Amino acid sequence: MIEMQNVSKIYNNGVVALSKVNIKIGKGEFVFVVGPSGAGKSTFIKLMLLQENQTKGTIIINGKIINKLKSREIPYLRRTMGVVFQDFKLLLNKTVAENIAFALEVIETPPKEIRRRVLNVLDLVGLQDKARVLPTELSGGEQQRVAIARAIVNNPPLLIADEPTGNLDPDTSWEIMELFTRINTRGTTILMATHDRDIVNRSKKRVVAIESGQIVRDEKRGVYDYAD
Amino acid sequence: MTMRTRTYFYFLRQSLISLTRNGLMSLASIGTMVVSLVILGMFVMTIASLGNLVSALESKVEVVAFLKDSTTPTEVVKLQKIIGDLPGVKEVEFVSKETAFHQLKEKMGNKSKVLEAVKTNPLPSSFEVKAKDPLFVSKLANKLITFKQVEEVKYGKGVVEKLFALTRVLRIVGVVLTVLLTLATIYIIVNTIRLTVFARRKEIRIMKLVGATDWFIRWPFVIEGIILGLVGALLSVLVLRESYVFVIDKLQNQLPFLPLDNNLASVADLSYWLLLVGIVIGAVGSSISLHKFLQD
Repeated sequence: MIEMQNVSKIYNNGVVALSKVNIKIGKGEFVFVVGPSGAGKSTFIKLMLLQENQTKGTIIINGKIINKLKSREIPYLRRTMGVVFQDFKLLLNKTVAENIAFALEVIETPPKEIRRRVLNVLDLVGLQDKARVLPTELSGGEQQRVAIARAIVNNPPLLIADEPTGNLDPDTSWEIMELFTRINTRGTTILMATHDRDIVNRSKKRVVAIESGQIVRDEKRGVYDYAD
Repeated sequence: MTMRTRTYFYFLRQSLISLTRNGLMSLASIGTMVVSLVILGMFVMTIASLGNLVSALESKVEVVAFLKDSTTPTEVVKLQKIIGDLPGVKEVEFVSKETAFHQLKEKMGNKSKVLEAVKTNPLPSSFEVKAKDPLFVSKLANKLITFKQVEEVKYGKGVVEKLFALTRVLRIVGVVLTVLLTLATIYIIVNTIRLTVFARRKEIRIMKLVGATDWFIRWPFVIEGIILGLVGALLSVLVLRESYVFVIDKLQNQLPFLPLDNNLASVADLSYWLLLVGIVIGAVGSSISLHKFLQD
């Protein structure tokens, strides 16, 4: 699903964000990416989302070598991955259903299909009765559910989440985590960067720890295991 | 409906929705556009009117050769032919003593009663010679004085030269200022559109993240730009039309001797240009502004 070979990222100002990272993530895996702030987690995620280009090395996502992609091919690769952020990134002037539908409209899905899929995904995240509500009227946890619904409405094989529980209280965080687990059991590969020690330790999933731009630990049923 | 037509309808709907949802922003853009285009339009019209005025004045520059009273009608016919064949002459008109007297009477209007006291006609007959180019005027005058039937030659010596110097400067300054003002107008409008795009960078970001292609993101913005440009230009055309009619009316009342052009044809010409400028700037402006946000 995802493979990085000797990937390094050096920013223009000389900061080495990642150096010689090697990792393989298989289809259907659930992987936590942990590490202190400034360790390179964000860069790791940005490379996957094609928001940054690596300086050296090769990244393969869904069988495509992404540094060989032409810029007009990038949107089509992005359609194969859903993204969830700490700050939800919802459009506040659109309703819940419109926010989710937006992700399908911009990839030219027929209207009938959009209606069907939006209803399905609202059911999955448990927000059937909030379809016509504006995001500002929702709690943080509910807003994140909308963001997750938007990320998976297109059935992408890969879901990338960057600190998805960073703005939420522990109970709500755990609900979001359970939602991710449910999505994962449907076959979606999930890559989640997080600071949430409790969630990582309770989940017993694969944990990849990044420190100073390098992978220092990669365990099958890992724990958070460092002071932050 | 095929997928493509549906997409275009989607673009149009999205543009209209966002124009109304970002109503204040749209109004601000249209306002800026109207103000800039009206200023540009008024300037261009003023320059054009001045140009017309100057051309009218220039075409009035002529040489008048007054003839001795002893000149016979056959000499007049001969002379008219000779002068007409001189290089640089556009037109020669013979003004007889009677015509000259009549013209003077007309010019004086209600004061013409004074002339009734005059028993004999003191005015000489003359040739009014128009030059192909006002620059020939002084040469022509020098030539005309050499004919023996010619008593005196008159033209606005000195005045003509000054007029030409002035009009040349006026034309150059006009062109330079028009170009500068056009650039400033484009800059202001593009910047306003940039603000509207900037206000929606979050939307653009999300579109990119969920895999919208660049052209799919760009089109609704371009359509919006075109609509804004069109509305802005239409409003400025209306404002310009009304103020043109108003100003010309006032001017003609105050300064009836000015050869002002009061037909709306020149305004119509300008209107097409402004509409074109509005639409093109709207479309290009949003494309340029979007470019930065499509990069990442």
